[in-house]
Amino acid sequence: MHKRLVLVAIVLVMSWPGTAGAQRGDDPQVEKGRVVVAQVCTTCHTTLGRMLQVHKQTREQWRELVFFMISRGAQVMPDEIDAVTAFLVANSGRERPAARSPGQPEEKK
Amino acid sequence: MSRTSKPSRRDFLAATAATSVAMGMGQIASADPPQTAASRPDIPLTKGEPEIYRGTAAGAVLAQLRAAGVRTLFHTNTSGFVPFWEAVYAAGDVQVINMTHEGQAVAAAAGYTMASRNLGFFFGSHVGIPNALSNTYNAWKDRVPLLLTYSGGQREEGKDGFEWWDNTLGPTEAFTTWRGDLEPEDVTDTLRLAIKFAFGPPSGPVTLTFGAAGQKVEAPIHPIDLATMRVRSRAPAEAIEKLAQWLIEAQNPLFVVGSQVGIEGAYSEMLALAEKLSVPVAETMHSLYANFPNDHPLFVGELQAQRYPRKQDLLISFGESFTAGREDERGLTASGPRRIVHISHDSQALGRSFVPDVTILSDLRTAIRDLSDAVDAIATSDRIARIRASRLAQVSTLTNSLKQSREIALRAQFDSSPVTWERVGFELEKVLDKDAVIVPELGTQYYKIYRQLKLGGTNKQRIGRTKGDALGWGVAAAFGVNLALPDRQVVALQGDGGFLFNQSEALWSIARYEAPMLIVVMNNHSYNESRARNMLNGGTFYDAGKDFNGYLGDPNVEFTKIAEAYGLKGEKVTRAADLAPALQRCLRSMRDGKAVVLDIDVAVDGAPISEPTWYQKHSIAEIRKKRFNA
Repeated sequence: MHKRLVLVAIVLVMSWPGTAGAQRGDDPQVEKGRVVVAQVCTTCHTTLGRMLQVHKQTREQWRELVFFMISRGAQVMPDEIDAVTAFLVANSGRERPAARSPGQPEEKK
Repeated sequence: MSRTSKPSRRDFLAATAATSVAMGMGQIASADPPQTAASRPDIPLTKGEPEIYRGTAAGAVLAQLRAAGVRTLFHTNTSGFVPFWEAVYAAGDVQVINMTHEGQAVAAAAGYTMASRNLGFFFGSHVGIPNALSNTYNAWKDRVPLLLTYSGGQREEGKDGFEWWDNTLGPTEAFTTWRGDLEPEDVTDTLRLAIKFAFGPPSGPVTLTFGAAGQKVEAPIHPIDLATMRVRSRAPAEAIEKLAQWLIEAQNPLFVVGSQVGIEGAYSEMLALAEKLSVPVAETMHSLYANFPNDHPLFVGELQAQRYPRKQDLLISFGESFTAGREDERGLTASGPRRIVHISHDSQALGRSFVPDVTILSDLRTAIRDLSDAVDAIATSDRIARIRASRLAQVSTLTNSLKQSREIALRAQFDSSPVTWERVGFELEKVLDKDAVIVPELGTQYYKIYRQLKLGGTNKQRIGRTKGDALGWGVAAAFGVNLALPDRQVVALQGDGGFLFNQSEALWSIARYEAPMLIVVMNNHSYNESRARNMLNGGTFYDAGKDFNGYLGDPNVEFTKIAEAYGLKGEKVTRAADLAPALQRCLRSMRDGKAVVLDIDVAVDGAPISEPTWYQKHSIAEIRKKRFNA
């Protein structure tokens, strides 16, 4: 069951269209990041597609989160940090940090 | 780790005679002038022949415990043990550790046992059983041999009497390996049986009603070597030979080291086998001990995070039972088809949480040695050396890269305030003794500290986090560890949320018994683990920025003042630059014999929510005012 979930997560990430579709395939960093995310993140985060929809963050926030996950044991190599960040920004980025009032809907990118 | 030594027979007899209780040959020994062990051999006893204790039933319990080398007892307030106290008083060599809550006493006994491999013994009132349950559960998950004994009216069935419920030990049934009654007629037989059940396997807590009081008994006392109490097993030679063949032929094998390596203390054997063929070594997220040095080039971290080798063809679990559920399952399935071998000294753990290809019932130390010998017998030393050299290069490249990434992550927010978890680990590693013992009770952010600390092997040891995860364990468990290892630095790593689960009570015992521990409170003013999980997939709470569960900062607890209320030292750090000087002050206090609670404001990690300090407000005072104003 869980193996199936992981596979679904990997497939979701590998086929993730992104909010900026033009970036897919055009930016080698994003493509490299997509492969790393599929290998590294989805082993634990089986709902990664949903998480990327929900947690839109700035480049700086995503970079911090990548560091956070490396410290927690994610096996991201030094030369992959920028690529993973680029993929996350391309698919779940925002310009400014979220500063919402209660009940205010999610900011649209 | 040290083990409390078994008393010599002379010590046992002399001390027992000092209780003024008639005890067969004990009186003969006490009549002799003191002699050194060198001048006179121990009186030989026929194997299996017990000494006969004559005295009170409660005294017989103590005599049998002492004959097993038990000298430390944990206790909480009650009035039901007068004959037992009299025996303790007369013995003169038994230390009773008073705690102020049954749950904390059980955690302390568990920590003591995990560090000493002695037997944790607790005695208290049966009405404290509900208090004791959560840490009894933790000890059961951790397979810690404990005897938890309770006084109380076990002959009141059906009456709904004072402090009474039917089936006294019933509530402990799910978390114990056995339950019994210490009654005068067979008191030491029952006690020995209880010890046997506690050590198993499966090992774990045993609960007993303590009906042994001032009744006069003649009871057999057997010497017990606790180190040999666990039933031993050894794998058939053909199974080991087959496994050795697989191991030599495997292109990408992986070892997973589990708690049973730590329970048996088979650290050096595990290291030698991994190094023989340069097999990468992983652990699960619920690893109870630091079973392998985490600064070793073969250590690749958590199983579920494994990225390399992608195509593992053989996974051998050494004493890991994969009880973490989904996380372990992901680790076991991520690599695709491969052979999975499960070695365990506990037959009930074999294949219980997953289906391996091969199960091997054996003591870990014996299995590791047998496997190593079988590899030597099958492969030439040249072949072994070639495998070792080529694979070491591959694994080292991986682990070096991961180390670089961790260093980048550490430095990215190095000077940030609130302090990062990585920085806390970094600073602790700089100042703590090389052989310090770390007792954590943290959420899954623990890894950010662990990987900055050198743990396992000849480095610092780690005991915990309890696999049970029931909060309210760590401070008392660390105190128990310090009782067992008085010459070692002991550091409790706590979250603020975990500390607030009944843990300040343990400070009373830490102060009374002058345990010079460091208690670090990683204070992010929240149940951040729960918040992250609750918010992971969004939803209306997340969209609204409202977390009903997570925020702890109102009231903003001054943990340093809690420490000071118990006469201990408190240190507060809010800025990264202040951490190193604060740690130096902590060490000075510890050298002077006083424990320190170090409260560090640490970063809240994970995806942010828009209103992190929101909570559902409710004020009884406001309601009261309205009523008065009406």
